[in-house]
Amino acid sequence: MSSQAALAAQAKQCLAKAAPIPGAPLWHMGWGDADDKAVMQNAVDYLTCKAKAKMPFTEDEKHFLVEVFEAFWWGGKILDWIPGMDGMPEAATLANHYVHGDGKTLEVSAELYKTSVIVRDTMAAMKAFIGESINKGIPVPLLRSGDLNFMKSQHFAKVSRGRGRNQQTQGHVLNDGALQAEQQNLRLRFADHRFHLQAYSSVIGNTPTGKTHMHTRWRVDSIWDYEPFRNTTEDAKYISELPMGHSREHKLVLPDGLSQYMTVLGIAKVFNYWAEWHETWDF
Amino acid sequence: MRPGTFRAIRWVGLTAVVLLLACGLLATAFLRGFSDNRCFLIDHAEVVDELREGNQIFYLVYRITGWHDKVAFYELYATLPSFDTCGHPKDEPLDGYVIDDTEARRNEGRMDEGRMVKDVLVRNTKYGKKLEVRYTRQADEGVEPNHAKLIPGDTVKPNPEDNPREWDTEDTTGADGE
Repeated sequence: MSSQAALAAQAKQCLAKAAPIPGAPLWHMGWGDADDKAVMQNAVDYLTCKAKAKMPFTEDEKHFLVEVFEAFWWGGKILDWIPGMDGMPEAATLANHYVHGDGKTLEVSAELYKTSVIVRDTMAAMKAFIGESINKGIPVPLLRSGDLNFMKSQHFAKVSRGRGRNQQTQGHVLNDGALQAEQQNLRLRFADHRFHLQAYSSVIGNTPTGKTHMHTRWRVDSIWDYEPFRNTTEDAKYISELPMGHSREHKLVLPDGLSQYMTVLGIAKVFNYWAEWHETWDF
Repeated sequence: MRPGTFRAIRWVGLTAVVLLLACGLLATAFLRGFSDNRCFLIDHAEVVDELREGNQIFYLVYRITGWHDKVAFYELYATLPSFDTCGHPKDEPLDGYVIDDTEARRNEGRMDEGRMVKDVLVRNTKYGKKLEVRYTRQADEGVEPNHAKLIPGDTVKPNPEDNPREWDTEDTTGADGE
């Protein structure tokens, strides 16, 4: 069977199990009882089937998916407004930007990164490497956390895994130089799980004590996108489970492939986001 | 007052009351939904294997976290782990190990589908018990990550290809069983 014929057969199967599209997904997400769960999951499963078959969506179906992402915005913001809760202001903003940002590049708060243990530790390791290189007469105007010379250095070893670093509380740097967020840092984990750190450094002068005075502009560039459906067992890994209602007994399973298909439908756009902060330091 | 004006005012007033009630109910629904949920998304976590050492049983957990950028990893627990409704562990794991797809992400930004998990070793190191994933490109040796077996690793020679950063520096995680 040709791939087009297979898709047509798949489309026919999807239409045979069509589910109604609920008009107020936010409401169902908020109440989250068994009926809400069934209504929402049936709709998502039906749309997943249609996306895998590369079918067009109706306006109601597109609107439903956009509203699911708006539910993320509410979720992230409300958590941020309630004292004592782990706020997700950046993740909320990023979710909303996916469906309403028209693909424009977005600046996110540097606090997201500056407050992270793995970012602070990697900054320290990169500064040690920069200082050491300058002492050897090698200027380092730009250093990326994935640069080979840095990754071969003893400074990198301190932040790479296997050195007793605790993944929950400290995170570590992966083999390609990407920083893996510490898992307890939910705010960072949902906004940017893995990212490269860049340091743009220049020598300002010397301190009265004879140290070298430096200025560094730290920068993170990331992209917000989702894995497409591959129609393999890998798809099982790429799902997001959203808590529903106050009892948290129910969850909505939203495949990442469906989120990605929203870009094909023209109701969401992949975008880049970044953060920058400055630091002066001596060595 | 012109005829009908009172009716119009009453209609507008009633509509406003109905709208306010609807907004109140909606807000209540949101707060019910989110205020008790300390998680934005739920982690997927499952116990996939266990290993007995004397009287002690160690448990291997397969976890997937994140949102647009998912990370899958293994965790090792000294007791049978339990998770809250967000999938977060109630006790700290002894170790965590990211299933490494970085090699693949350098190539076309996708997972390397040729490289599969073979099994998961647990080693005694100077940092305590540490996990190490062995990979394979042999289809008959590879398993789905949530079907991996946890095996004692102290007698297994480290493979630098599997864990290039682990073993190429002087102060390693203790393959010598420190």
